[in-house]
Amino acid sequence: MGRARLIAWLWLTALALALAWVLLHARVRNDMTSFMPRGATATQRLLMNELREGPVARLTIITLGGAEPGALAEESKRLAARLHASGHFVRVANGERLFDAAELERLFAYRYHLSPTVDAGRFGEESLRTALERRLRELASPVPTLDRPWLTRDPTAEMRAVLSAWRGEAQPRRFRGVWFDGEGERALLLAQTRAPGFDLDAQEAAQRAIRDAVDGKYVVGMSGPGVFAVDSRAIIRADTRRLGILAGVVAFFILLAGYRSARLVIIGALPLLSAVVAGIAAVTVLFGAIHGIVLAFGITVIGVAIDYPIHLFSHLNVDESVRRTLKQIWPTIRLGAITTAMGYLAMSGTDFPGLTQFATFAIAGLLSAAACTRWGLVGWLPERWAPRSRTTIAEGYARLPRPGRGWIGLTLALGVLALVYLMARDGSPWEDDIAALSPIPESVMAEERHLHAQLGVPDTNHVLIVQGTDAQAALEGSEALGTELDRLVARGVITRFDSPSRYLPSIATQRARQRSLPEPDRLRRDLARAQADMPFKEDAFAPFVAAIEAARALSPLTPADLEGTALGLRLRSTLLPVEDRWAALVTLSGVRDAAALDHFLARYRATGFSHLDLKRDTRLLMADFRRHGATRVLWGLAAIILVLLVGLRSANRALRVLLPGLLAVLLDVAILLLLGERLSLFHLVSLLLVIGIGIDYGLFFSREETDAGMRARTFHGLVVCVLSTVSVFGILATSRLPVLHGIGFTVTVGVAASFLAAMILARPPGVRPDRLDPEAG
Amino acid sequence: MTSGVRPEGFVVVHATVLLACLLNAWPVLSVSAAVEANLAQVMHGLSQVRSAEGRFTERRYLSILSEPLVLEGAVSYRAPDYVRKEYDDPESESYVVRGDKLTIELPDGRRRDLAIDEHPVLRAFVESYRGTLAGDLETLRRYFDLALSGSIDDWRLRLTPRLPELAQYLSAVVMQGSGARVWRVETLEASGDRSVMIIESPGG
Repeated sequence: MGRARLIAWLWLTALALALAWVLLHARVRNDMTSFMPRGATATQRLLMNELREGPVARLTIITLGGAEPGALAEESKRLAARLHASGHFVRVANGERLFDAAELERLFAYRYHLSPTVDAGRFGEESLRTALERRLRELASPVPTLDRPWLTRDPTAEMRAVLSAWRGEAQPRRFRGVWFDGEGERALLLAQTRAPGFDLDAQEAAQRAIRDAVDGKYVVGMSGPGVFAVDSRAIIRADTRRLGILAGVVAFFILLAGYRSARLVIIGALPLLSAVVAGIAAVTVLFGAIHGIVLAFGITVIGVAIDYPIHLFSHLNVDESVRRTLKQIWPTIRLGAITTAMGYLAMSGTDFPGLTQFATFAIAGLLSAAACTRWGLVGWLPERWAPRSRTTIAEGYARLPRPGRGWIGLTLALGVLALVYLMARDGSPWEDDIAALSPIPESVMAEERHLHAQLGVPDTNHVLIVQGTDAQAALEGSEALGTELDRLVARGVITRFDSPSRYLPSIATQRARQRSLPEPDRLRRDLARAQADMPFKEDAFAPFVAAIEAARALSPLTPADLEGTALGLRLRSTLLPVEDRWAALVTLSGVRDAAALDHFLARYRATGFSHLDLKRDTRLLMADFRRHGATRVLWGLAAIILVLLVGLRSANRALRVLLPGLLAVLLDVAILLLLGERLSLFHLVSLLLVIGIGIDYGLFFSREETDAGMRARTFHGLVVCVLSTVSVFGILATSRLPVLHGIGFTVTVGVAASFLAAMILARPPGVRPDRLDPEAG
Repeated sequence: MTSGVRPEGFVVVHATVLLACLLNAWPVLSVSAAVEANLAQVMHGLSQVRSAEGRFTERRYLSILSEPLVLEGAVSYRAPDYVRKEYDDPESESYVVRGDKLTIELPDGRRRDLAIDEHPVLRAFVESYRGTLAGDLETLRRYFDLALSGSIDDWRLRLTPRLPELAQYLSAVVMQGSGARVWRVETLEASGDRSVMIIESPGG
């Protein structure tokens, strides 16, 4: 076995071991925290996570249609019961009673602690008379009130006040006791999964349970964060699989056409495989786990590693050994790989762990692909062999006129034109709305918002956070804030708000209410006076007097008492521990006067609550992310220039190498914006890739090759590179996924432009493509 | 309650009365069959009524009250689905049922609309009265078990709720009438409370 073969075997063994290690140890994470800036406070991160993955993120809205309302109402009740029994959900609501009879009876005992209408004057003679008059009128009404059975124990209807506060104002339309949409065509249910929103497998199982629980003759619809996440994953999987296979097949046939050797094509996949394994391994070792986005994006970007073996294969010829050929082109490949890696290195300095992970992946991948090309392939390649397709391509190249001043001028003019367009253009070119990157169509999202509004699901776009040292302190804070917010509601600034104290008042408030309850003797006296002229029996309300007496001794209800109850679940979604403190989440709905709200928030922020506007904050985060990225791209560019100057030791050649890539980026961005695309971080990183590839092209085109054969080989390699890259990324550009489409489109346009620009601008002056004999020399 | 009965309606009712007399004379006819036939006839008679109105006096006997509540007012009905009930007390609300909608007219002139299908109890409650006035046997049977007794000139129709949700509140509604006129409605609540409404025609 020759030395080259031995090294090749060693490489293969190392690759196999690394692959095995990666398969065993690499974990893919999907939470968003790695894409949040390090500067964010721990609380902010936890709350963002809670909001993304907490109770609101676990809500699924179910719609039932396809039958007449009566049948839908019945099916809604059956479905709710089945879903309850399935164990996938902690709460299924369809408009039927909120609590079961036992829980309701238990809470009924606490009505004087919980009712917002209880205060010092509530049980005086005057108030009691008013209440009794109301009750008498209700007794005379032909439509009975549903709380009639409670009348003698609760003549002031405190439980009604408690229940209506819990229910909130936003109530969907009802039919036969269950919720319907505004048109009365679909029954609505709200289900909260047991599993967190990011546990996609569990979410998928829960969604399957819903589908299985509905009779086939009904049309069932689902929406909600979990549903969208699962749908997105399905679309991403389907798209990446379909496009990945297609791109792989196309690339395979391009390489096959280029070299007419299946063996070579398979060998050519080795650097690519090495790059992916090295990338995952490096990120896993440094960060513990790899983020899903980093993995997908990294593999896409690392695809260009196929260029390295292509250059090598194209340069193989019958006159020299593989080692000699490799020695000739290696410096160029090395310089290309290092410059591109430098570009990504600049990315790693950001505050975003996600970007750092990505840079690590790309650098480790690129360098190991280059190394694999240098050391891992030689042993497998045929000696004294040349690709047959080279002659045709080389002859075509020979016929191309050497680009004269006219061509060069035209190319530069195009670049200047693009620059002028970019500078004169109005409006932000950036896409900072994260929703625009989602594969879920906007119509589906609009439907979701519509259903949310009907069901009164709190809007996570405005969340106020009140913190306290313990749960009670947080509750008290949210009560104080609630008093202020009540005024905003009264002024019509917002339509409603939801806060934990709405479900459970603080112990302090409960105690205050308790203290306002009258002593039995006084209550009996006032009650007797109040009902003096009314037809009520003298002792009709004895149970009420007894209930007040019992309530005076009843200790307040705490969050712990509600553990495992329907009310406890509701409370849990708005009152939660954050590290060693507690946070009350107050959500605002129906903001009608944003200016007045901002004014209010500015004034009260000083009193110790923070305001989270998820939509605004993610926008800021995206913008921050992208700004960081843009700065880093510029740093990367500077690093690239430096490496080129050092590596080439010629400012002139460095300029010729760099110019095509830069022009291509200008043209690329101009074309993207002209076509109405908005740029995101994914475009930015794609542009970095374009520069990298452009430099590779520049490096090869600018080689001082006096030998016509050599030039033909170089050109052959470049043609195979550009064809495979353009077709692979062109295929990605057809994706339904905005991210994949953006990357594919940017790289396709940029690489095509790079190639043409490099062909025109990068070639060394004074070298004429004479009559070529590719196999000579 | 005056009945705006069309001539052919009268003929039918008279024919029914004759037939009923004949049938009653038949000693060993299957009782259930006879009652069933009568129910159909009573309902048919009621369904011929286009409009009716009358004054009512309602007494509510409630366990927490030392004396019954006495309420007076007027009810009116227009086929097929309009019922209005208003009280003489100016501070009382009025209730109008039209189609699937219940409108509560507050004393200050404001109105509140409710879909009677919001809650199954509300629908059943409305249909017990309106369904009887309209002679809508199919609707009544959906919500109640029906038992008819007496003769066509003096019948009693007992409606027992079929929905458990309704049975929680309501034990039965007993309608009393003669021919195509309902003159007494007794509501028996599950709590033991009851109310009796006597309807008089303006002239009689």
